[in-house]
Amino acid sequence: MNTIEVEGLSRTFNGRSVVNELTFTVQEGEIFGFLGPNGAGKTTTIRMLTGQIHPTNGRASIAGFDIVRQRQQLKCCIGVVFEEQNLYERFNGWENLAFSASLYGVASKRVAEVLEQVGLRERAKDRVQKYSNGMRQRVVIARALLHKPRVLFLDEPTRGLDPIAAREIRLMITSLVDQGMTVFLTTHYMEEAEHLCRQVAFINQGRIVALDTPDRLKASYGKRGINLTLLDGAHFYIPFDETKNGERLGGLAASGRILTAHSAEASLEDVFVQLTGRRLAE
Amino acid sequence: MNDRFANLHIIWMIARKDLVDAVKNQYLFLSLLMPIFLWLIFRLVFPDMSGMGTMEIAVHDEANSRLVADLRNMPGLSLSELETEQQVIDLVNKQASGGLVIPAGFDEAVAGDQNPPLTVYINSRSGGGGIQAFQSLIDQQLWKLAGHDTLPAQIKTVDTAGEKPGLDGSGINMDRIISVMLFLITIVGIGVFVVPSLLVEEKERQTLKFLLVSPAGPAEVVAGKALAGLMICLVIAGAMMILNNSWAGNWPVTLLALLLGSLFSILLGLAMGGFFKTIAQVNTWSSVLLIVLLLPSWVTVMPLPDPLGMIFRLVPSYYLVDLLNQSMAGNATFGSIWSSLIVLAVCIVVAFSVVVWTVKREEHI
Repeated sequence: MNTIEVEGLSRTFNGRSVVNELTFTVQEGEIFGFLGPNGAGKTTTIRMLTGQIHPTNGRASIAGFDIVRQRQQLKCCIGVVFEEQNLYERFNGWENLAFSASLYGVASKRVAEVLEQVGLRERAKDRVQKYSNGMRQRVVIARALLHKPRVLFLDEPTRGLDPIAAREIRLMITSLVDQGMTVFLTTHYMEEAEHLCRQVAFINQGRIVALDTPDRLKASYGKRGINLTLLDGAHFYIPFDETKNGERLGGLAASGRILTAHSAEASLEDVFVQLTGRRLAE
Repeated sequence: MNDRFANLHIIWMIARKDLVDAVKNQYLFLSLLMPIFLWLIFRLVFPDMSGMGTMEIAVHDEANSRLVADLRNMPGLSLSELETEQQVIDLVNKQASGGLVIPAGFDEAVAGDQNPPLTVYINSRSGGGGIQAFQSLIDQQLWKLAGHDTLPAQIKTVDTAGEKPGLDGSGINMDRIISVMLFLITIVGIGVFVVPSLLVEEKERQTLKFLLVSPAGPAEVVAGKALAGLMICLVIAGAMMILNNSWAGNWPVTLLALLLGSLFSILLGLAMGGFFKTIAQVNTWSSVLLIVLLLPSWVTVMPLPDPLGMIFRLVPSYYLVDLLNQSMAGNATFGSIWSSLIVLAVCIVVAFSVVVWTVKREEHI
């Protein structure tokens, strides 16, 4: 069942096309990766899908609600984690969540539940100003989860976090999907997309230039083979498309001369560069 | 109907959050307390009667008035009852805080609502504090004598030092001048500084994005800020009324003027908040607006030459000052205040239209 359906979605600002004819679907319980460099149109797409701005053309629905005509119903079934850690700095963690809960008409018991879920119960009464980046990000995610949304939009959720905090956030995302939530994820980090997403779309200059599973994209644009480094320092590339190469690889392995062996498939980053001539971090 | 209640609930939640946030924000909190600090400073410069020791009043009473009998029994007053008006003038020139000349039949004329004349002598060289305390005392005693909050006599104030009397012919009433200025500082300060800050800070810290994807729309956000601003305005203005003993004169008109003035100033602040994106912009422009909107309070202090007076009439706060002056002097009648009420109402409608336009613009991005 499709939770997100997007068809020909476009947006122009002052006559300049920022998002152009986007079409894709996201199934329930899926993590959908939306990847592209800065200025590619990712945030504009999220703003349209979350009802913050209207599309110029096209249509989209989230959990069956039209993003233009059913904006108010839409708001109750989505949670949004913004790129910025936009919390009320003078409030503590509990107050931030309690305010959000009051807007959604959610009981304060739920605030305690989500604080527990993101592991912040002990620090709930500390001012947000005193939190680390990772803790603040967990509060932002907790705020988006308060009203039990069906779809969670995550805009660069691990940006600026240390590796441990980023890993915690990724684990949290995985556990949410295990509970049946659909996640729309934008990120710069290719490893993140590779590990988390069932489907990824590459967006460049407002257009989707590729849309598939990470494995199929890597296979389509990379080489099927293996890079070997031998103990004497020699390098080999052995392609998988010839039967005799299997015997050659087996022989080298049996001789014990192999130092390292790496798959020669493309990374998502390589695929993006091949498709657009740009790097994702640009 | 449920939607309407949900919207009201959201508006109240946003207002409540802003009230708590304003108290937690030291910068905003200090600016909210500013009118009270100013009140304390004014009180130090112009102390009231309780802080002055004994006040000496010279009286020539041809009416055997209850006004003098009441003054006689007041603690902290030294009453000199003199035979002639000239003796009153001489004593005021020498040492008295002020003097009164009460014509024959004064009490009867007051009882019959005939608005009898009452001559009040002051000496402007003796300093503002004593004069202000004396005039406040006379106003209070006259209201007490009349049994209502409208001045029952035509007060003719004469400065024995030869200075010109104030605009309304009743001399300079420092209490009223200070009250009007403080009310204006409170209302305008909260409206054009605190209210846009509440809105712009949401933009600057990106929390507005969170609000706009929540069940709150732009209209609820703006209404919540307006409600928070109005509550702050009315609480501080109420405190100023209590501190300044402003529950006198035509106090319902004073309340109406404060309400209309607050509404106008808050809507102006919201319109500013709609256009500005940073607190630095708010600080710059609110200072300019604050100066412009406070200027009309000077009309209560000094008579202005015609061109300047005409320019001040273009500033909406002029009409608020006019309403406050009349109501606090106790001589506001419908005939004398209707034009100021209409001008203020029109300004509110215009400011409201600008705010609605900015909200609609936000909703249809």
